Amino acid sequence: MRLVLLPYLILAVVLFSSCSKDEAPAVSIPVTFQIEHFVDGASLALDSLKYENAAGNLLSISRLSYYLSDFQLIDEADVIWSFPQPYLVDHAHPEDRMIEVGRVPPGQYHLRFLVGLSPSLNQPGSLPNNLRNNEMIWPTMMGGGFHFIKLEGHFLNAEDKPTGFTVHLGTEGFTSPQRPEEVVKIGMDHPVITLRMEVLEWFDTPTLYDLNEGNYSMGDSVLMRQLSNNGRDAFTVLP
Amino acid sequence: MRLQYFHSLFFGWAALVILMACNKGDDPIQPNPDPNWNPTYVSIDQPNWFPAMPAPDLNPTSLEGIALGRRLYYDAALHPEGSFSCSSCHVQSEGFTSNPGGTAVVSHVNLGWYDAFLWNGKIEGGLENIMYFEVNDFFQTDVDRLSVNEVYRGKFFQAFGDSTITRVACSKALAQFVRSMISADAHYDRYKHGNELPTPDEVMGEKIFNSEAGDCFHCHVPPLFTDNSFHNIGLDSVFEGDAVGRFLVSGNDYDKGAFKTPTLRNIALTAPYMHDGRFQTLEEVIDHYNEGVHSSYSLDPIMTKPGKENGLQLSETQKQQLIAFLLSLTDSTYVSNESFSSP
Ligand code: HEC
Ligand code: HEC
Repeated sequence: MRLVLLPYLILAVVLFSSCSKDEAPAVSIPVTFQIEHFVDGASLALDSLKYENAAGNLLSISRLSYYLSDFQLIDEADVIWSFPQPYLVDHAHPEDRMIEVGRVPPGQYHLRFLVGLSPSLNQPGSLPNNLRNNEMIWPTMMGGGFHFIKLEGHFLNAEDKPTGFTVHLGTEGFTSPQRPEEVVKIGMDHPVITLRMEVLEWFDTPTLYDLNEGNYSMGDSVLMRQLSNNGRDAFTVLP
Repeated sequence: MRLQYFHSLFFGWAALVILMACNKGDDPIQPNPDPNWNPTYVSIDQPNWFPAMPAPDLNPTSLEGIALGRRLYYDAALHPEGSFSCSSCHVQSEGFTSNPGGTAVVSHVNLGWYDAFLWNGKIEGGLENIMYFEVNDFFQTDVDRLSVNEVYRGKFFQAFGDSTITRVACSKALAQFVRSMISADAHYDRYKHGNELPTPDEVMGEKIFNSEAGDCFHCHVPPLFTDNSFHNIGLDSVFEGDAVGRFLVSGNDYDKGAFKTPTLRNIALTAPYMHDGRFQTLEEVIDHYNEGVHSSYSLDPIMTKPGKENGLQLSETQKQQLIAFLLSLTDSTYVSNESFSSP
């Protein structure tokens, strides 16, 4: 008999949440990130063989898609505002590059987040079952969950022959935590915060990554370790 | 009983209120529907382990629309000279393909999930878009030929509230029918989600498919076994004419020789293989991936693994296991389902 009332409860919730948008305290401000992908001081252009990484590989990029998750904003009193939910960002889908993670009071914050999925999100079935998430699945027999990043392209190998490379990361331990040094200012006058990924940072610091020595990372824990560490400083916050 | 009745009433009403509350503007489909038009709208029953099927914007599915689409699919009257119907080339018992020679006929299965059609993907959008191309550009349907038939006019009225037959209405009906053509009952689905058991070879084959050993999953993504994308898998190293593939559409040099990833569902029934039908058997296909990959600058990055430039180097046993897995994707209930056969 109790169950009979459940639908009404759901209805009540739907009615309340669907058309109202101001439950959060009036002082809070939406935290909106505009994501940029940069190489050599300019926006990433797909499929042009003109970039050079630190190891001297001439390369082009054909695909860049990855998850961001576990956003945390740490205020001046060291209070952590957590926004664990994931965002799939694909360079080929410009609409992915504007994300609103939640609301916080105006102020100055330090930012932390992951490239990849936190362990609780990186489980079969933990993300909505749609085509885009489905395509990021990391097969169960290789550890399960989802690809954290697919960075693919072509480069000229040691014999000057065009060859493909795939930077694929996934499974526990291979996320790339980001802790940009820059302070994030959140206020009415700062509606959007720019997060910039320097794409070639994945091939540099701490390990000089030569694509001739590892053009296919999936399932190779040594390469995945190097790449996921290299990616830790991929993002900066623009003032 | 009473209470239940009250519930459905109340919920029908509540749903209406919510819809109205958040709906801006009029129904785009039929601004002033004929009061005698009463279609039975249905939601398409999709298996819960498939990703959500994108919903059509302006062509809600109805039983009448599906029935009309099915009729048109099997009727040569759609063709201006009555020479053939869709089903002449898309034959149900062969997984809705056939082998007339030339460009390989693409199978019709789970097309509701696609957003680009034809081997080079030149038709983008949903099923309504590709069906309009088929009716308008490929068949160049003569609507007068259909309109002389009173029964057809009645069926168009039942489906769309208007007995005027247009190419757009034909393509909407075909889209509804083809959207309902879902295959998810292969032995593979039954051992994954039902109570059949896989054979040891199928288990091993699936492991090869879903690991770096075979690395098929990156493009033939389960459970649809396609990624809706385009790749050059190294069938050739120089590309001329139609063999440039996706390049014709995108103009991107890295798309030379790239074609749409075909689904592998019902693959045992859909020979010959590849866009030009160059391979007759699955053995030949596997041999290609195993040792016949031609390199070129546009070869897909996934196809280049260190030390395996020409292919995967699987053993004979592994090749057989992979084929056993591919054979598990045949859905015999789909190719005999009467809802999809000639009305
Ligand atoms: C003469 C043989 C023939 C007939 C008749 C035919 N088709 Fe096809 N169909 C093909 C071929 C060949 C292709 C692949 C063409 C290409 O990709 O360039 C194809 C591709 C398609 C595709 C694309 C599927 C995909 O996944 O990209 C759809 C949809 C389709 N046909 C629907 C129809 C419909 C609807 C009709 C009837 C109006 C029809 N076809 C009649 C031969 C035929
Ligand atoms: C890089 C993406 C990619 C990978 C990896 C890949 N395929 Fe394919 N596959 C394709 C594309 C694209 C085609 C169509 C190519 C063409 O016609 O030019 C295709 C065609 C096929 C066909 C013929 C389908 C038909 O209807 O004609 C089969 C069978 C097949 N692949 C099986 C496999 C198997 C098994 C593996 C793993 C060993 C595999 N593929 C790996 C992209 C891929």
